[in-house]
Amino acid sequence: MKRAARRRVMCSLSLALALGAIAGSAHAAQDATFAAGVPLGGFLSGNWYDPAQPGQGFQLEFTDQNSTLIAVWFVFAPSGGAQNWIFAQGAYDHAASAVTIDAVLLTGAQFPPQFKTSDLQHVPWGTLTFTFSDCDHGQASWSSTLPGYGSGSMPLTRLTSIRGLACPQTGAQP
Amino acid sequence: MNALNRSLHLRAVVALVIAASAHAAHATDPNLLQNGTFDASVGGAGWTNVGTGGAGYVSHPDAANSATSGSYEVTNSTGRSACFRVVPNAAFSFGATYSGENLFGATSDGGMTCYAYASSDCSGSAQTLGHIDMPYSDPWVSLVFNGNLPATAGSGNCELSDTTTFIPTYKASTYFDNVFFDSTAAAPVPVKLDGYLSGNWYDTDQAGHGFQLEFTAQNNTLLAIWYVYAPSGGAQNWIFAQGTFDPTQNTVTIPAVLLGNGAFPPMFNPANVTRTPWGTLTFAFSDCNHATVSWSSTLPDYGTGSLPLNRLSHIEGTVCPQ
Repeated sequence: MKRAARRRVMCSLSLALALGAIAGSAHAAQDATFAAGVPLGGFLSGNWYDPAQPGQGFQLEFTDQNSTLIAVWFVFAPSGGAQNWIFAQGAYDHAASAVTIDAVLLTGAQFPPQFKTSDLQHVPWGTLTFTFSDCDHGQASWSSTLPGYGSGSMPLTRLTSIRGLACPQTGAQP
Repeated sequence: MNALNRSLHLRAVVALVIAASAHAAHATDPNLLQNGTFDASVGGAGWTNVGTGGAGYVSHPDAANSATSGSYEVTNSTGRSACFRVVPNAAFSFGATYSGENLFGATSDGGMTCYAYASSDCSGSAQTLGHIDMPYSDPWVSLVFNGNLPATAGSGNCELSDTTTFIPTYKASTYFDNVFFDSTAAAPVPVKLDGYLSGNWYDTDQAGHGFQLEFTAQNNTLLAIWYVYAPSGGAQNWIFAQGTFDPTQNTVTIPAVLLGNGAFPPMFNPANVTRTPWGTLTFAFSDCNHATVSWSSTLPDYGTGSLPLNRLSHIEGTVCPQ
């Protein structure tokens, strides 16, 4: 019975595990070459997470609409148990390898068809900063103004990339 | 033939000449409703006399007798055309030529109405694009309605209705001919699944929840995360789905999972996270900027449903081919 349960988990996150294994070896190469960085662009879009913390992570989207970064953090509440998603968006600079954007916490609505936009409460959450050392490695740091979230940082490894986009690998490579 | 009938006949001929020239322009337009696109009988020649009193009609199936004019035999009732594809926001015009004869004492009601749907197949709720009332008119008249399609339009259809009640003394006749629906933009070809569809997608009527879609380069895997709220209300939910997509298709269905029992870092412990199968998500794209999501959940209260989706954002460096 335990084995069956474990098998189900492995299937549902097969991609995460497979890529986590690939990323794991590259992860060790992450070092003090941060400063070189990779310039921000659409090719950094994808799912990014900390391989030591599978089960929460970021969906990053570097759009071509006014150089806007959309970042959604799929995570859990500080009190534990409940899910949280933290939505952030703001402008990024193509010449930089780091970006800081404002985040908001939306609550109060219901699953469709009961969803009503007018039920939503928009609560400013704080800021998220993303720094990229190369095409597959970065760091997220946060500073929240809401109780319980505090400030902190975590290493990020790329889980996915967009089909048809190639990262130029201008950052330091091992 | 009395003078009145001859006069009507002449007027009808004149009207048809005009209609024929107007119709030639429609023939090159992509969304012309041609013969065969309506689901009722069209074609043939001659008159059909169906009753001389009470509810009834006399109709001529194709007054212009043209192979390409969209004419429609209205059987004292309502008929609807086949579904056709439309482009959001594009200008449109629809209409027909109409004539009623010997309508003295008759009561006529009806007209032409066209509808748009967010879906690509005329499923879901219909939005009325416009209505033209059938006039109480002996001579042929051209009925036209102009407008712009809504931002969510993916498909459309048109309806003709005719309810005429006439008195026994006169055999009233009503005709529709040259029925058309034109749009300035070409009907879209469904887009194929690929990286350029990645981005944020949401229902413009439901701003505040939506999908991050990512068509990845990793084994043609689609990652879809629905950031939404719990059925019980108040709390946030994010529903994580991933599965393979076929780059030759415009539709994909993938299984979803609900992760629970985590905590915000640094208290997050992956060993505590529970993963509950949630059901499936299906995404069907009609073009680069429009899609429909439908879901079927096996968990209580999420149920099944569907929503139209509009693209909010696209990834820098990707180009959708349409």
